[in-house]
Amino acid sequence: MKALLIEDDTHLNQQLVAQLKQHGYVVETALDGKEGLYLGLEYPIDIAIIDLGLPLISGIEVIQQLRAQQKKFPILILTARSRWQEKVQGLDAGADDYLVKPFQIEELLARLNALQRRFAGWSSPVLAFSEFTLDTKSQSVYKKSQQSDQNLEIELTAYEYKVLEYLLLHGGKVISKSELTEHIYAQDFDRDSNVMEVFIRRLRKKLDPDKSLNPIITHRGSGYSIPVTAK
Amino acid sequence: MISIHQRVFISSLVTLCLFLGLSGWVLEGFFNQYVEKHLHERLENIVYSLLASAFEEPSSGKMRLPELLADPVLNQPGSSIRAYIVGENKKYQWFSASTIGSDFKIPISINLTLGKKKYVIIENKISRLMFMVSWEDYQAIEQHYLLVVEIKRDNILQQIKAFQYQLGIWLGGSGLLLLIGLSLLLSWSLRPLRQANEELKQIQKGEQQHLSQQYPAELLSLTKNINQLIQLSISRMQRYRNSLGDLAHSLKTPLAIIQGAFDSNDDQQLKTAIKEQLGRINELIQYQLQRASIAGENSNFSTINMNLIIEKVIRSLDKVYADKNIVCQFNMDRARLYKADEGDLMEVIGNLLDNAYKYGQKKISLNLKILSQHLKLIIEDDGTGIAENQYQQLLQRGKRADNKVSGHGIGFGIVVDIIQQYKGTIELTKSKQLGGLKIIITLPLPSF
Repeated sequence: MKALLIEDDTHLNQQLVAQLKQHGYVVETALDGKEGLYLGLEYPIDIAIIDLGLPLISGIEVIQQLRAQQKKFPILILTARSRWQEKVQGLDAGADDYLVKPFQIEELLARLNALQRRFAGWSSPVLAFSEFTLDTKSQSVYKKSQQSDQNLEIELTAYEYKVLEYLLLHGGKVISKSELTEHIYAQDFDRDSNVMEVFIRRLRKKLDPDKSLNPIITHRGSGYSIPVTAK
Repeated sequence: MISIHQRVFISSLVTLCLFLGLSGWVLEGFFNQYVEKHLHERLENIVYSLLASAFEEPSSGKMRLPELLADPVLNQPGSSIRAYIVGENKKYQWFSASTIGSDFKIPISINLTLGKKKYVIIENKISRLMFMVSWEDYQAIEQHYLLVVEIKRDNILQQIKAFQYQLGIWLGGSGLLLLIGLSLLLSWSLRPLRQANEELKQIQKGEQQHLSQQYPAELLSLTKNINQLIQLSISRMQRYRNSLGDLAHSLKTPLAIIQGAFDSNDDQQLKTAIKEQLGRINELIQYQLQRASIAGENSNFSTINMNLIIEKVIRSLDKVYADKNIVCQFNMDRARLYKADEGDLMEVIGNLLDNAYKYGQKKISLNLKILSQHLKLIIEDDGTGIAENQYQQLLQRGKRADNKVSGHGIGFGIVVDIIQQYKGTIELTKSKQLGGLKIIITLPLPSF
């Protein structure tokens, strides 16, 4: 997932970027509202974290501008002031959730997950498709065993999980290899479209070893998709 | 901005000028009239005295006048009064002695009806009175004679000038005196303003706390308001100081705990201590900050549309708790504007509704009732509620943010503080309709 972080405190900014990257996000970041707004409008963002007290352009204004330009990705606001007036103002301007500083990083990640999932249309943190369930909270995948009717966990690497989660959250849509790379594989690595093919291959092997279920569909020349509608 | 002094000065100057000018003009008019009338009368008297001096010419019986008259003014050559008589178809002409050596000009072609008088002023230099009389001679023929009496106007003009001068001096002088008097009066009248200024300077220096009560009725509401503002900032500063004091005091314990864990050289203990106390410290700071930012009663309130605020908060919470799919029903019996600080009101509604959303399952109801002297805000949820014996504890929260009551956090404490500041009440009970907690908040409605 590509996250936009606009936070003017350099220390906090660095901390958050590191932690987000650690949890598999590709991060675009800015230290002021003007730069942040530019990034939000120019890059394909999946989710944004915006601090309300920003220099140049205020957080509220950035949110209003993004929404005015039809940017619909979920926005979580960070605020140092826990007064309700501020929270309501931010939410009214177009944000979807808020977090009061200081916060625990786990709280932030959990909320981001919930927002993504909700935005994709899933009402529960557990996403089900075909014989599988993906728990976005624990970031694990389960397969219903034919024999015991139990759910067996499938071991996936962080990136494999990310790819699967992305395809599932955009269920039904065809996602190109470059889109997957842009949103999942961090920019400082060499962008090699082969990488995605490798991930998909490995995923298929782990999820569907006997090739009976075919959870991921290849669209020649376009990309991949998981045919499922959000519930 | 024109000062009050200047305003009063200019307006009285204008008024004085108008009044004195008008008076002067009227007085001068009357004087002129009087003087002219007097002049005219004098000329008439002379005409009659001329007639009285007339005698019959011994042979014809026609009208004749002596060389010298009883009235000495006509006898003096060069005097300002001249008389002339012409009659009998210009056959008879009589000049008063005063016409000798003067620039007397015989009036030309005068048509005057018998018995009529005519008064003219010639180039403002001469006033002339003419009288056409008839005189029956011995042959019983009516002879017509024109009597002309003239007076040079320079005397009267001088009189008028003298009067103008006198008038000018007296009116101008009294005008000046009036202005001076007015300035003094003004100074005296505006003294309360100067006093207020002085007192404000003292207050700024810190030598005085409030404006004294001795002010005229017009300034009283102003000084009362200033005193209120002063009181407000004093109490706010006091509150900030108290909050800081409370905060410093409450922070000592968690800091001591961390210090102790650090001194123990036990990494695990330190880690646990930091984790626990961090949360506590954060909560304390947030609570005190929030308390300090309560605007409270007596601040500059705006009139608020309550249902707009409530609807905004509901919309926000619907977003935040979208996963829970809670339905919040809001009813108000009629719209009412309320005078309060918008931030405070949002704080109350935000915190209470947030709790309701957090602990509720599917339904929340919010009722706003407007009564004659109060407004009632009732929030009910369908959660698990709170045990009755914990109501008191929850309501006492306003003092120290130490004890936690069933995870309700500091939000409720802030609500209690705010309601107290607005002199309202909170009541907790079980909701019969929804089964969870029911909170009834009563706020007094100030008279508008």
